Amino acid sequence: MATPPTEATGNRRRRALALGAVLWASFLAACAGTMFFFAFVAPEDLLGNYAESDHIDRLGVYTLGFFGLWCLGALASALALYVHRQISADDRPGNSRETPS
Amino acid sequence: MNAGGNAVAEADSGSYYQAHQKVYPREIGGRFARLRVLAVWVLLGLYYLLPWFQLHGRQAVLFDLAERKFYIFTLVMWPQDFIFLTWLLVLAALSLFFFTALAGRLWCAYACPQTVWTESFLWLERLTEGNRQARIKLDAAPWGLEKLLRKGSKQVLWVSFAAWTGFTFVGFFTPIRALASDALGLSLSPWELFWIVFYGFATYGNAGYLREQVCKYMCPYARFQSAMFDKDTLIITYDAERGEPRGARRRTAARGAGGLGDCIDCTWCVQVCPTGIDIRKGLQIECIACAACIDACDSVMDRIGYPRGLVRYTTQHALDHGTTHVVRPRIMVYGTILALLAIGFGVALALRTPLGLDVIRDRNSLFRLLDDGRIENVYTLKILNKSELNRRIDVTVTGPGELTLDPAQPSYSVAPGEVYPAVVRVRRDAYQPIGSETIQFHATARDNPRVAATHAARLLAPSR
Repeated sequence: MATPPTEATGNRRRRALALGAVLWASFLAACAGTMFFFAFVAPEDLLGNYAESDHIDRLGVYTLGFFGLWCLGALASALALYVHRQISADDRPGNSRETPS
Repeated sequence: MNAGGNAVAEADSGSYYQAHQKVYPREIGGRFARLRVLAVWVLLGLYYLLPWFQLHGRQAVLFDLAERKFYIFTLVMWPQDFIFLTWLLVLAALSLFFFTALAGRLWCAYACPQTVWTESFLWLERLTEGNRQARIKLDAAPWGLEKLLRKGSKQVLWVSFAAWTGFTFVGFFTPIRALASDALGLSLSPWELFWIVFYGFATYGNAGYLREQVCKYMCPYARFQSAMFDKDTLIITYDAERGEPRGARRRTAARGAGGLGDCIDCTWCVQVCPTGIDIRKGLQIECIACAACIDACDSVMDRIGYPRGLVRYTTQHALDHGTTHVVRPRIMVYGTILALLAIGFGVALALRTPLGLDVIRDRNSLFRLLDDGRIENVYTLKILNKSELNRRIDVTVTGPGELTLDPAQPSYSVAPGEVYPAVVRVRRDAYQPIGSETIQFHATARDNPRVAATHAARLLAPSR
């Protein structure tokens, strides 16, 4: 019943796990970040003169802020993961660029 | 056949990246299952019901994002009280460390939202698709009317439950009664609708499909909790010394006959595991310490008349026939820090005044010399009323020299949550004492002198 692991399923799984880790770590960071940021900055301060103070949709600003931070965090996590993988690949025995072939 | 648990571990350890295999946890009753069900009821009960409680004509617990005010029963928190929230988060993290060091993954087993919601989604799944055997059979069966009905009704239940969860989530951040009438009248604001769908979908995906994979592959706590473990931490483990060599036997066989250990290899502990591991292979990172295997093994031991506890809560020291030390340096350090922070939090919260005062000196001029030989400084006071009452706030000033205020006895009516900007002038004899001094502004609520705030400011004067 269980499908034996092949290289293709392994790669797909590896990618899914990496995506999960990147999204989850950045999600946690975005939660904390949104809380910290908006504790000190009110949405109307961000909008400045663009919005009449009576017509600010604060929930909207919070939402955009949260997703903005999430994207930034995900980008940072993904970059870290990518660079780390490259370095580990270089370090693998027989894979080093310094080794004369 | 005298292989220990380790031999089994090596036999089927596949590639780390093998394709995911669906886990069908078998349902099991028992002491710890009852405890978890109780936790589910209490926690989810709090979650779903709390937003509906009213207090003083408002929602008792409401983190009102639009108004930037947090109501926690009688307490009203403002963005200025952010320190308390941070403090609370630090307390929560430290408690997690403390309880992990003491008793292992209690959080994972009984309190984590992932566990609690997965448990309820599993319950809905059992309701519609039946027990473990029936679910496995149903998944393997070709699509037909019964499969369609069972799977369809499960989806209806799941989606409704998830939608209610998302709705409740938003109800913590925007008044839930208004939200309910908006929802019924199909007039939700786009952002509210978005968050209901988003949170509902996250619940549906995490509790319905990802389940143990969240714990295994995504949760950072699962990865670093082992750093808080030591040999005196409560863990769930299989007593290999007593159980091995495992093996099936006749019901009538005497205990220990044929050199067999107490494990009859019924694999119930594996079937009930929500993360799909075999506890007999030793402590594993996937184990969320839910104790389902203890319940399963105990019930089997009861049935065959062996003593309970082949799989049990114990410590590494106890397993090694040593003594378990509950009080040890790690516990004392975590405990002391936790206690100090908790006491500090309580004291700070009790001493917190629902009145804020900020003083800004007029930046346009340093000071002004008046005709009568006095100097004058201008300040803008920002008076913040953090209470839920309309308050009259009296302002006074103290400092070296004889200070007079203009207006003479400043007093302002400040609405709840309002930041009242008041301009006051402070005058003093220009040359006595010499130079600039620090003065204190005091704001006091007229109805309650204990509600007071003080802020220092510089009074600038010519030096000679």
